[in-house]
Amino acid sequence: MSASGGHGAATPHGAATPLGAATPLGAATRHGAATPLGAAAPVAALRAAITFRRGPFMLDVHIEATPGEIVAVLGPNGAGKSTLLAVLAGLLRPDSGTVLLAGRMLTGPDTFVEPAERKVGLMGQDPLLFPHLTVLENVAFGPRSQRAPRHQARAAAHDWLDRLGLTELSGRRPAQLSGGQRQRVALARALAAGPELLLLDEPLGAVDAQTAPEIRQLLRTHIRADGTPTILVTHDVLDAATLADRVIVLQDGVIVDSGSTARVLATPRSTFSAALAGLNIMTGMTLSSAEPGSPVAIAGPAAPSWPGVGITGIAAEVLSQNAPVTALFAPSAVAVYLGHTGGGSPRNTWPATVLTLEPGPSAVRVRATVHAGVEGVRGAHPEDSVIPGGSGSGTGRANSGAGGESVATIAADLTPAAIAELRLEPGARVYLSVKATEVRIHAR
Amino acid sequence: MRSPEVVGLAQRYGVAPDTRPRKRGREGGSRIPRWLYAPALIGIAFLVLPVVALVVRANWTAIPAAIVSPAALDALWLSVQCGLAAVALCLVLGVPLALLLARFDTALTRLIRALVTLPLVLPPLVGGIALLYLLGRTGLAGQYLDTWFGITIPFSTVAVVLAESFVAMPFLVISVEGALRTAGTRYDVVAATLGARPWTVFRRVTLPLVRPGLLSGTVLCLSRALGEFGATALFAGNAAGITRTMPLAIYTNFNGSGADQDAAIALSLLLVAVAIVFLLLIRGWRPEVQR
Repeated sequence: MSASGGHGAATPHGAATPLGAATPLGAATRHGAATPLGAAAPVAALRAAITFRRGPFMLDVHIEATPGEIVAVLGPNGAGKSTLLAVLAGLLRPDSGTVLLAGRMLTGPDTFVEPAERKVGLMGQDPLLFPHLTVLENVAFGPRSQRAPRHQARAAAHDWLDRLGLTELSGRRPAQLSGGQRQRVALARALAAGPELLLLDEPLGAVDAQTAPEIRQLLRTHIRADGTPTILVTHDVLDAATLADRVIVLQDGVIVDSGSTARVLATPRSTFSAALAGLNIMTGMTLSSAEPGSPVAIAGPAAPSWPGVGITGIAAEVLSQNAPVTALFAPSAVAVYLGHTGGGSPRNTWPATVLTLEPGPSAVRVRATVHAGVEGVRGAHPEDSVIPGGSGSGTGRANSGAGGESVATIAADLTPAAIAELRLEPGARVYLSVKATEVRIHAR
Repeated sequence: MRSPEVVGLAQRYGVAPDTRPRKRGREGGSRIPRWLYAPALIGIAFLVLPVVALVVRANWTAIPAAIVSPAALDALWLSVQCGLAAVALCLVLGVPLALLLARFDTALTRLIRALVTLPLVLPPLVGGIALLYLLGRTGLAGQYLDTWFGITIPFSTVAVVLAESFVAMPFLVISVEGALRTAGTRYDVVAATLGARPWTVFRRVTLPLVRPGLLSGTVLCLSRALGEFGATALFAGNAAGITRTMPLAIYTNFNGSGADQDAAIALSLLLVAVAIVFLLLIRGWRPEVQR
């Protein structure tokens, strides 16, 4: 828990450079999703395009996921999220379309692979551990069903229980476990079956608030380590913000928004994702360890959309030093100044250029691009070349992947009076600031 | 009363994580209207007193001899053999039938359910007659069995097993179907996504999940088979050593040529004892008492 006094422990957050080592990784992931033709792009492990009709309801979805990628599917009830999972798992037959997984055709015009043969794991809100089997037997169920010899299946189960820190529970029955323990065993069971695609249906829906961060951590760690492409259905924006690389918003059976998590949640293009999110999102690495409720500083760039920008916020859960995190804050918490406030109380202040003004029901939403490197790079940024004044594509710049790497967008809600007083208009140079107490920092 | 289904359901949804060893007794806040005690007590008396009368009326000195008499032992042995064979037949045919009824909900399955539960409400005598018209020497199917294969079923031990199965199978089917419906298909789906093929799912998940219902259904089925009289009498007859099971032996002793009422009572008590043991077994298999 304590900060190991090693490298970078004393680095002030402002010192993080825009050339952080994490940039290429993030960029590669995004390129892979956006440009299928790229030579270096990873092969999409999952590629599905399906339509499914049931009465007046019609699901029409195209979805892809690369190895190790977590794609969140957000949407209101009845949007078709569970139907999509059922089609991918082979529990429902779509009316038309194909499901390709790791080069295998699972569902096609003349093909339908049974669920048992698909290697598609499913974990829902209810862990559904087999009540008549011990924890070990539950986890060994997958390998055993796939004809592994008994001792081999048990060894694999032991291995997974060990990896997830559940070894001492192996002899228990599900009825003797807590809710969080059951969900962890369910994860071990799903992973032990060696899925080539993992479907998570509200995996944290029934877990209490203390346990949720632990399970998120496990999901992150093991999905990344295993390289299993994952579809995460959730209605909790926090799950998407802290787990997903990309987000798809489903409404009435069609995709109304999709893109990188930061882009979709920060600049939503559908009414649902706007209502859901509209949050400012920033990713980075912690500069120190922190207990829940205590302040912690983070530095970019962990994601290319936030190069060189640090932020201080309140830890929402136990955080270790140098851990990847997501900072979330509401647009209403962001203040806009014309000049640098100097000795003002908020610690998070960034120079920015106003991009758009969008009148809303109660406030005007100001979108501004923040410049990398906080103070240092201020004069050097080529803002004119990256701000396509007023064009609709402007909102997507943070994840456009080219040229705009050093710029990110923050939303601020101001009253019309404040807009008038500050004479804000697109192109205006401002300082954005948010109090540390308004920023929640979650492990990522 | 907590039925195994309710307990299973509650545990599955995590509502009742640790209520298994709960003691019987009044739950807080629920009080029974006082005047309902009287009919309840009369009900108990009505159900228990006949057995008491049997015990009182029994000639206890003659009982051991009556029970170990060759005729009684023959009847007992035949009853056990036929009962077990009938239960085996009911399991082999009834569990798949229950699965079908539980998993498909169509007009056809609803019709089938009504038809297969018919023996429950049919007087067993009618069942015996019906079996005779199907499998008798001149029956619908029996005539072909006779002319093509030389097989004659009526008035044989096989007929006893068939008559008992006909009457007892609905008990098993209903009990197992209820358990299957309660268990639902969610565990089956999870098992399939883990790579289990349908037969593995059935064997390792579906059946174990309905174990309490399966066991109580089996015991009910066996009890009903052991007590079967009407259908057996008509379809299988009353031939000593071949078709004379316990109930038929009791009837013969009480009413027939022997007219040995002491033996009849002794055999009745034996049957009562066997039934009580089975009923206790059902209770013992309930999940609350299990583990």
